Amino acid sequence: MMTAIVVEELRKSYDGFEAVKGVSFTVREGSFTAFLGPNGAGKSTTISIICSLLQQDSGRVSVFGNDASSLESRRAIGVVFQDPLLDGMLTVRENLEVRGAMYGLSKDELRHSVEKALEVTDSMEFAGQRYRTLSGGQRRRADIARALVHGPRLLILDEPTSGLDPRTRRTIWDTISRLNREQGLTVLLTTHYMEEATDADDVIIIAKGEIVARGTPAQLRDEYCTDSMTLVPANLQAVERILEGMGVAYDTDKGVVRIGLSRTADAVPIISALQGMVESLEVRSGTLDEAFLEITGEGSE
Amino acid sequence: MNDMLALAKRNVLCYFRDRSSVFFSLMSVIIVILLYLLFLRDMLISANPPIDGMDRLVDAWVLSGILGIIPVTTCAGALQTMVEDRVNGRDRDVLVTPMKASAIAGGYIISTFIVGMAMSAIALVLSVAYLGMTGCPLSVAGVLTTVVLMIPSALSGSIIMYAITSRLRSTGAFSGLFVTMSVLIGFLAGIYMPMGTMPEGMQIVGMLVPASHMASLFRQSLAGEALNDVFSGAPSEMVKSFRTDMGFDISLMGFEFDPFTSMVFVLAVTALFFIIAVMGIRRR
Repeated sequence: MMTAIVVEELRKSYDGFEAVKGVSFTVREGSFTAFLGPNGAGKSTTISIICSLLQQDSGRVSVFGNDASSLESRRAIGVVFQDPLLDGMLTVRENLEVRGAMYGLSKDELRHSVEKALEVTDSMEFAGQRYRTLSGGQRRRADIARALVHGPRLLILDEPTSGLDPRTRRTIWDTISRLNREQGLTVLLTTHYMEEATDADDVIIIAKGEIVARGTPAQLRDEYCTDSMTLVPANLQAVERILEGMGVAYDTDKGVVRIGLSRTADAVPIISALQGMVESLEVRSGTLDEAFLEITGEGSE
Repeated sequence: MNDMLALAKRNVLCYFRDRSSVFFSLMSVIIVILLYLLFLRDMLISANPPIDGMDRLVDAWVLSGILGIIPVTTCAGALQTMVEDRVNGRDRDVLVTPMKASAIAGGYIISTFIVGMAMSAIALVLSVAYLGMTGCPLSVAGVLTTVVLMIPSALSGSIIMYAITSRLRSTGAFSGLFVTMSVLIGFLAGIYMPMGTMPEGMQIVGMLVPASHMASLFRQSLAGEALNDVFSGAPSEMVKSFRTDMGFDISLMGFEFDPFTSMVFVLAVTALFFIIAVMGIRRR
């Protein structure tokens, strides 16, 4: 298996501000990779360099073995930008035809590839409408169709679901994962929702211009999530005595006891020891969202 | 080549579907013509010898001069698309394609050229209709020559204006520059006031502007017939001084341009600006 993207020691500063500080990562061909980070973490800068919109200060970026600034690399990439960039006065089909021709497709190739792009993104029904008359979800579909019109091997999406309602977000997401699974397209997307990244094969987390964690969603959960139990004791002193006797670390806040667990199953002996002393309790698995906040240092702020 | 034409097609479609921008481009043409008819016409006619047919000659003179600057004044609408693309970051959608910088520049220039040609054609139709109705002498060869001259005229206007505006990053700067250019070019090319009435320094600056040369060529092709008619049998000294004062014949520091050297000058300046334009497209 080939690697779709190789990024080595990438650095980029603007006016003295170091947006990307020596980032290295790879994206496997055929994978669905989420590039996760809070706003201003350097995601868009990295993406822009991969798409050759920005020139890096140092470091190397290659796409399917070609330097990111090469024409081959640009042909291999389809990009969906965060903000809508198609022309409002043109119909969706016209937009796709114009963009496709910019990739040097011939008339026949163009006709075929425009229809295919419209089809795989379910954009057929509004293909004849002007882009500016479309709803947010339809625009996103058209944007994705635009990104696919020249038959790229790698689809890059910069926060594709931002500004969409939850239902539309879901359908856009399904379209993207279908393209990945059924068409074998390598997908790299940026998001600041951990919840979205849980569907990815690989997650790369970036914060303040540096990569702070990477792995599959399961690995990240194992490594960074903390499970916990909270309980409301009937008698606080009695509960505290037992917990101290068992050597369990805890803290109390407004009469609620919180106990950190390395896994949820560890709650069982504690609960049985506290039999009859507890009014209510809750055992929670740590969420990836919490892990993300923990990893990026946003949680403590 | 296809990629460049696709970008040009897109720009032209965006321009013509925005009816208000088409309307205002046309307005700029119509306003200059009205300005002349309502204010400048009488003044210009009375400033010249009272020969029979002088009014028609002055009409043909001013309309052919306007033809020379139309590609400059009307390309605002077409270039607006480019500046807005840049301001809104919409140019990213073009920059991620494998299009070469020169093809991108070419795409914007071609669309500006097409708009300039369309507007020149409208102005020419209106002018010929007006001149024909008022009985101004016109020749078929002269009108056809004018049509052919519209091509280098629109080409140089669109390339030069593209190069000048291609670095602007705000729509405010763009419209400000355009208003300034539109007013200035009319004076520099001697459209509102004859070349001969301007101070020498201004004449030299005016001669460096390609639109002045195009205006001179248009005067020869479109107003040439009226000129011959009015001055038939007049002393050659008188004809010569009229031709010089009114910008039929132009010269720079003693060098007298003929249609060929004027054309070479226009194309050379245009080529220079094309190079500047292509160099201007660099990835940020």
